[in-house]
Amino acid sequence: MKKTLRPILLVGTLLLAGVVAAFVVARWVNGGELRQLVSDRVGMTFLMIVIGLLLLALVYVLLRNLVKLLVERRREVLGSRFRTKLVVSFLILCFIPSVALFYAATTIIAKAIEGLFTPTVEDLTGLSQEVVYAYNGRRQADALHFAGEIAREMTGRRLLEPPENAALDSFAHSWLSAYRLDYMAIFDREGAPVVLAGNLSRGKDRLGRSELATLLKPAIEAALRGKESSRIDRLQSGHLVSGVAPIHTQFGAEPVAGAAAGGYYLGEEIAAKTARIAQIVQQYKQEKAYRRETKRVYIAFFLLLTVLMLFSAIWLGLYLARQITVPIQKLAEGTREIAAGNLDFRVEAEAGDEIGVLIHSFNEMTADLQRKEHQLEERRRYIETLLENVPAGVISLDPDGRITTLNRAAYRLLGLEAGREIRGKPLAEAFSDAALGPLVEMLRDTAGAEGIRATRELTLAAGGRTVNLACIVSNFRGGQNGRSLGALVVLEDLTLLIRAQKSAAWREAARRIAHEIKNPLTPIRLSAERVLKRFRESSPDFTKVLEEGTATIIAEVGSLKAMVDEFSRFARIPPVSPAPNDPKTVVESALSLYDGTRPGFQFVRDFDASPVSALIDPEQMKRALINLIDNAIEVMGQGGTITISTRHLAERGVLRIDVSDDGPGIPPEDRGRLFLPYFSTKRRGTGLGLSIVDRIVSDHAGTIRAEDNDPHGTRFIIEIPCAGEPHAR
Amino acid sequence: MNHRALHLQVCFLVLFVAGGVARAQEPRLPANIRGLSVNYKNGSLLVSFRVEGAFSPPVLEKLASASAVKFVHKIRVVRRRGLFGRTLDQKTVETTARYDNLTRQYALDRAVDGTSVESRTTDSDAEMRRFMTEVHDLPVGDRETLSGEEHILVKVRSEYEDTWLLFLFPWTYHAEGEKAVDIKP
Repeated sequence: MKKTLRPILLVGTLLLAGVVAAFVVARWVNGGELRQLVSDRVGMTFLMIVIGLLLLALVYVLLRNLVKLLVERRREVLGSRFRTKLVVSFLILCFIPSVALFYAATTIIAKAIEGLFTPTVEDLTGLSQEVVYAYNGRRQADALHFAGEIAREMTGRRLLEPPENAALDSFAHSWLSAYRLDYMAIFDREGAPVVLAGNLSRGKDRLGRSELATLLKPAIEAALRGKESSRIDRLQSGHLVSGVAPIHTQFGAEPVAGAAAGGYYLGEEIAAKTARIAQIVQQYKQEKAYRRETKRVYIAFFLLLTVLMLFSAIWLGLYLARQITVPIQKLAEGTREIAAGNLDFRVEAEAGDEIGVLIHSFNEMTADLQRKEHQLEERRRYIETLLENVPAGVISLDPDGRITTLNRAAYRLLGLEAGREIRGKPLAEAFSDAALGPLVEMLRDTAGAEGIRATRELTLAAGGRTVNLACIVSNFRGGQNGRSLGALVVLEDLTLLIRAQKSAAWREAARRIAHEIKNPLTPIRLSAERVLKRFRESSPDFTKVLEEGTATIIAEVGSLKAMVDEFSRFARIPPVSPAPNDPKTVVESALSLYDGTRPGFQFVRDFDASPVSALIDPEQMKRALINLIDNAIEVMGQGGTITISTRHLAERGVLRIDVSDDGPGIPPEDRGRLFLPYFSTKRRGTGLGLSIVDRIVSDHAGTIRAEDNDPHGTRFIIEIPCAGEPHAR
Repeated sequence: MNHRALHLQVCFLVLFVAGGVARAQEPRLPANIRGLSVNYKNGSLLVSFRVEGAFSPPVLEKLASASAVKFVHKIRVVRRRGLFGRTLDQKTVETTARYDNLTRQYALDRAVDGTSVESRTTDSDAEMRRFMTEVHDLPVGDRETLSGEEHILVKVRSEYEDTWLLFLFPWTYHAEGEKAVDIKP
């Protein structure tokens, strides 16, 4: 048998038994059999046992479910609270009316039963019985009186002794008519009938001597003991009222010689009425005597109905609650499984209503999730493959600075062992190699900072080789509160590029140096050849030629020396020491050198009104600015306007310094090489000025670029970090 | 919680409560056995006693309503040895009275072990009471059942009124008495 079927069968059996018991009791009540039932000890016991067992079973089932409910509630089983609420609600809704109904019904029944036994009814039945008793008593008294008279006459006449006894029969008949009796009988000393006068065979009754002797035996025995008595005996259709008196002896040894009996036959008409009265009185008294038992049956009946109602309410509550909570439990189990990652789980619960719709939707949602997860997984693999195969190194960090992604290129660029597990480790632990110190330092400075997208070139001697990397750090923010989601670091290998650039730069430098050296060498050679020729010719202007040639040689050698000094200065640029400084002071100190010294030139100052402090090495920055101003002056030649402005770009945390002129500007094809060493558009330029500027700015962790000025000229833009502010390039 | 354990606990709880209430409502016994005498004669015990206080108001009310009223007198002869005596013989005397409110007579009947031994009518209330409550020289046991016994106990239990406890449990008011007898052959 199914486990779920057992309680249903049990409940069904109990309910059926209760209904049958109620039906049987109702039939007894309606059929008037209740009175017989309550006086039947065995039947009542059986009925009470049945009702008691039903009650016990119902109470057991109720208690079991309630206790189970409480235990589940204490253990906080999902749905137990709802089930408890539903059952308690049903119980309260049913309990109050049921108990009220039970109380009212039992009270009404009790009052109705007690109402049967009012003083009026009591008097009526009592008086009816008294009337019967009075009537019968009168008859009994008459019968006893005449029996006594007959007995005394028989004693006086010695009618029981021979020879007088021969005429006893005629005496009997004469007494019968004289006393107007219905019968008259004489019994001897042994109690045997001697004479019977009168007709006692009336209606259905047939009484002869022997039957009469048997009927009156107790009275006859009493009379033979000298005691007279009267009595009424029920016959088949009538009643016999008798009086029996002892017949005493006059001189015998025995005091009693026999017994005389006489009486009346009450016909069916009167007997039936008196018997009916007696029966009614008897029924009344029995009802009264058994009223408690009758009440008990009714109370038990109503109790049974009440418990049945309560039981039905609780069971219905439990059933309905189970219909709701079981699918909800399954759903909760499903959510737990899905939360644990088991997307194959499907809720299987029988529910055809809205809960069923919910379960169906849940299963569809799970299938959809499973499908999407599959797609996400494929996309993740695709992205991982891409990451693994891109030439740039990619590193991602979580908000706590732990590495979450490190692609193959990053392993290679950073000289990490291929099989080493890096993911999940903190930055310092993952990149514990001292060679990676600059990278760690940069990431510490920039990763996680708000609004940073930093780019820096790093040279790392990792894995037994030196690599030049362009390191780009991007911090990500998201979510409703804009919290940090981590950082993405892209490492671009610049080693070959820089090597190529250096090679090109050196080639250019060699060409320029050769060119620059070659330029003074030609006049030197020509001067020397001219002096030699004039000397061989013993030319009269030898002295003059010698002086001119020597002067030329000395000038060109001076030029060579100046060029060599410039190279030396380039090579000897001291390291930059940035510190918080007021940029206006630095700019002002550079411009002050030109005030009043360059006629035709105008120097315009356009400083940001807000006070700002930038990380500046004042001497180096001043040198860079002087280089830019010198370039501008040289380009403009006779005069022009040179503007220097400062702007605090707070959103990026940088200070911007613009040096602009209104000169001829820079051709677009030269802009890409402006900051390369030894690149110059000037005939006599070394090509180191802007290289020095670029190096100084880079050493300030800043950038420099050249743009067209509006309406004409060139604008050099320097951006360097502000002190105490996170910055992004 | 284990289901079987839960079943047992609830069952015990229900029975405990029901039993406790029933026990708490058990009435006292107003009737008593008087004059219990046992005579050993001719190898048999002749037991006599009477019950006093058996005619309680409910009994009298039932009697007056012409319902049959039955008293059951159970006489047991028990061996007086050890903690639990062994029943050697027992007799059950049932006395029944039914009042006829037309003839105003009691129909009396006495049966011993289910066999009617006496039936009569009387209009005497006192005679009816004696008939119902007195047992005279009832022979219990015989030579065979009493052979070898020296110390015996005669126990009498007279049940005179049926009632109900908690509307459910049938209960019989009764009186009990006993007498120890030493048999000396």
